[in-house]
Amino acid sequence: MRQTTFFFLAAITATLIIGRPTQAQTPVPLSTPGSAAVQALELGDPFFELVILANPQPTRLSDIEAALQPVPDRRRKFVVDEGIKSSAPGQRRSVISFVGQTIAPSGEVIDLDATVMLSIFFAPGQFPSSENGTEAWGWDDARGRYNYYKLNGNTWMFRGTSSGPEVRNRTGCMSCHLNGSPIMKELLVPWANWHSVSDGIAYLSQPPWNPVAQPIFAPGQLQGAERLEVQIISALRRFHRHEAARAQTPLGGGITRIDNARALLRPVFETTEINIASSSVPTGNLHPFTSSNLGILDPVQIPNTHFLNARVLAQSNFPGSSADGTLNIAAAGQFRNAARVPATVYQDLVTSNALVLASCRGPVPGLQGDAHFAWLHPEPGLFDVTRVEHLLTEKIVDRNFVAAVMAVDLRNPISDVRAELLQFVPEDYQIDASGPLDLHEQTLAALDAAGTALPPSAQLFRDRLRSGNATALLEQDVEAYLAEVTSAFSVPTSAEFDDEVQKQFANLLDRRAAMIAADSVFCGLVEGPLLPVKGN
Amino acid sequence: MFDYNDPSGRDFLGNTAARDFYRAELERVHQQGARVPNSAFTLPEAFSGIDPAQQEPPVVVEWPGFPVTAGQSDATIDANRFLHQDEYVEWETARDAAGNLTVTFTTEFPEYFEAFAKVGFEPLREAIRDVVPDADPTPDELFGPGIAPDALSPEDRADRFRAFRQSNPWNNGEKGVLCLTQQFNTLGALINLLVHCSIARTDVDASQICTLVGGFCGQRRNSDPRISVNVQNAARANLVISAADPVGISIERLGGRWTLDGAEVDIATTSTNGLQHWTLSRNGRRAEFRLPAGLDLRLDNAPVVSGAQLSRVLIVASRVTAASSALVPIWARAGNEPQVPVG
Repeated sequence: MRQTTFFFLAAITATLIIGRPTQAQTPVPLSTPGSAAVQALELGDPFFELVILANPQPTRLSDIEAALQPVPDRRRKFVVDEGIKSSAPGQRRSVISFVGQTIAPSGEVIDLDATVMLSIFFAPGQFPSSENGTEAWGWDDARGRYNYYKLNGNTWMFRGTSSGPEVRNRTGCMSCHLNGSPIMKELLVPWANWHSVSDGIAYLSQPPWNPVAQPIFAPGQLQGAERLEVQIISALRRFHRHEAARAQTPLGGGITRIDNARALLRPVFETTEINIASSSVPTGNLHPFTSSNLGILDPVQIPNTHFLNARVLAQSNFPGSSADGTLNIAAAGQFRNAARVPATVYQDLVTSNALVLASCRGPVPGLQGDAHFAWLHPEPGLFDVTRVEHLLTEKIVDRNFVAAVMAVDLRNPISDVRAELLQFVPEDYQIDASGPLDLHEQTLAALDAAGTALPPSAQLFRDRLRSGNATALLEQDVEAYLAEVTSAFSVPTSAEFDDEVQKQFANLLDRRAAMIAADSVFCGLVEGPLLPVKGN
Repeated sequence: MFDYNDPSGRDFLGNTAARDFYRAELERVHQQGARVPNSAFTLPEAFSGIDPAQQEPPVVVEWPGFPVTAGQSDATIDANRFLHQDEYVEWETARDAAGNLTVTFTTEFPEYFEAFAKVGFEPLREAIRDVVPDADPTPDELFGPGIAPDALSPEDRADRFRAFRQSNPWNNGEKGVLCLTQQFNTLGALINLLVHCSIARTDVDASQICTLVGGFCGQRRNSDPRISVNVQNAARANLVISAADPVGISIERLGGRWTLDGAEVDIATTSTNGLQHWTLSRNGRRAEFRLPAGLDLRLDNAPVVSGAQLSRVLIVASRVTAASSALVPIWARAGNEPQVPVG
């Protein structure tokens, strides 16, 4: 167990410790869009077309919004903050998205659905609290890339693109947007830390946050994170479509070559981004920002993604997903049914571990307790999950290939052991309408070529790949794993149950600690993480 | 496993799969409660062998549905159901263009509809139609945008149905009202309250028990302190208890003094032009108050303008089965909690 924990920590650290910017990205000022320097950037997204090319360039938020979508009720505002349960004055972050279309000065009709978003900070009655620092991204459909912008004083700056060196170097905006695509770290139900249908934040609609005389949210503008989720997932899928198309070269006869396969298939092997997930059970007064005197009231079902990479393995479970895009192993979605922690036991775990909310600078004095939703944990990011989904549905990879990968280090949802297998994947391979033609063969050849030097993980990968029925074998593995968990959790109050709950909770705390370890990507996020960790 | 009955008295619409999902969920909740050390709470099957003549009458705990914790105006409480209405009863107040007032109350827990959601989208739609006739909900309305519900696992369908209750127009008042949604109005909250407040504490006055169980009892609510003192007294009397089947909260009556055109009337039976003003349905889990525009129907001499106003005289109840410890199996007695599933 100790070794497992160590491996996990090593895994998550290796995954999350990014090359923190070794040299600052040099932003390009956009105040003269016709200049050679700006022309050379080849920008063509809605933000560039509607804001940067406007004369004068808008820098006030209201003017920026009007330039992007003149119709106010087609603007959507979303709010997130780790302390969102507290109505105490402070800053909150808002993401602003748009729906519908806008006609550019050039006459071009521009679709705004998930093609451009803004990020700002605001305070009670002040939206934004300052225009300086306003961030934006826009999708350039012709070039298949996201472009990033930031307002520096009164000057809009170009901050990078998803196809630029910033992604590789992880500098500028890409120190958070690790793959160059939009991020929403608390994706999927219950969208912890966001105003959402799972947790409506009433004070945002009331004075002093939303003054009656000068409301900062027009009627209908403040929306729940469940709606942003759909737009973000749509933005991720669009990115994958273009990335996959870019990697394909038709060879004739219905055969296509997949180029740069290691880059395209990397999310199959490696957790390139993580999301924060949780159960849907509110922790009540275990959360320090909750004013209620009621505590956690319902049993906590430990989420499936605490146990394994369930969003790839199990049935579809997020907007737009289908069983074709997963391994469709039903047992992978049933861990939470087995792993139920009574409310009293969960409360004891929180208090006996003296949980305290901690930022990247350490525990925050006075913030003893848990997150607002129980069992907050990192899970493989939806960027990776939707990439695998796309590869499967487009038959760029097949289920047996993905299953052979997932069999390795199955019990670690985020694993650097699987990541090491990517080296055996060919740089290019061929597919036809039925799926990969030589991916298995080339990968097996590379594995065989390594001879006896293969580590056990790679041997398992090789054996599963060669078996021809890796999906069925993985299903057996998952069912055996589920049976173990079911047995361990079957008798609450038993010693085995206590041991298992303690083990899983310790595992959870290790993962959280790794998330806010110095230099982790989460510490680079603008609003900064605030996670419950073990206290003294 | 105990054969938990349909709380709405609809026999699960004949859908045995939904029935089985519902019973399994109730069983899980009860099994967990029955294992808490020294609690008088036990499984309902513990009472099955008792001679009815020896059975204690059910403990009926009543309270008014007005949310005292809200500290807001009636209009604000009406407008913010999911924030303020925390007494295990919620309502939506609607006034049409002609000025006719309708207030719909519900005490149904979401677990009932989740059981149908686990079976599939179509069974859930049937369950909703059973509550809101002619309802034609779409997957987007019930599960959020972009979801193909029948591609989801049963648990994912139930999860998303639960998560989207506030935006579900068939629940949030836009097109109808289905079930309890406020975050503290949960089945788990009710069972935990029974479980932890029925651990006998003879070192304090029974009325203090609510203050001793931490977050399981809302001290400033109408409901929790009343339930807690009743089950604490039962535990002290060496009784064992369980939530009476069908499990849930029932709407008992609309109290107050009612007058129609100045003459006192019984609101439970009064109708005008064939319109019954107060109707109870779904085994007392749902009620509707209707007031046509211009009708001088008054509550305590005041015109009826809001659901919160009605909630002050709306009496709801929790029923608790009780029996002497001596009459139930040993595993059901406080201090002998079963370590393995029973039944």
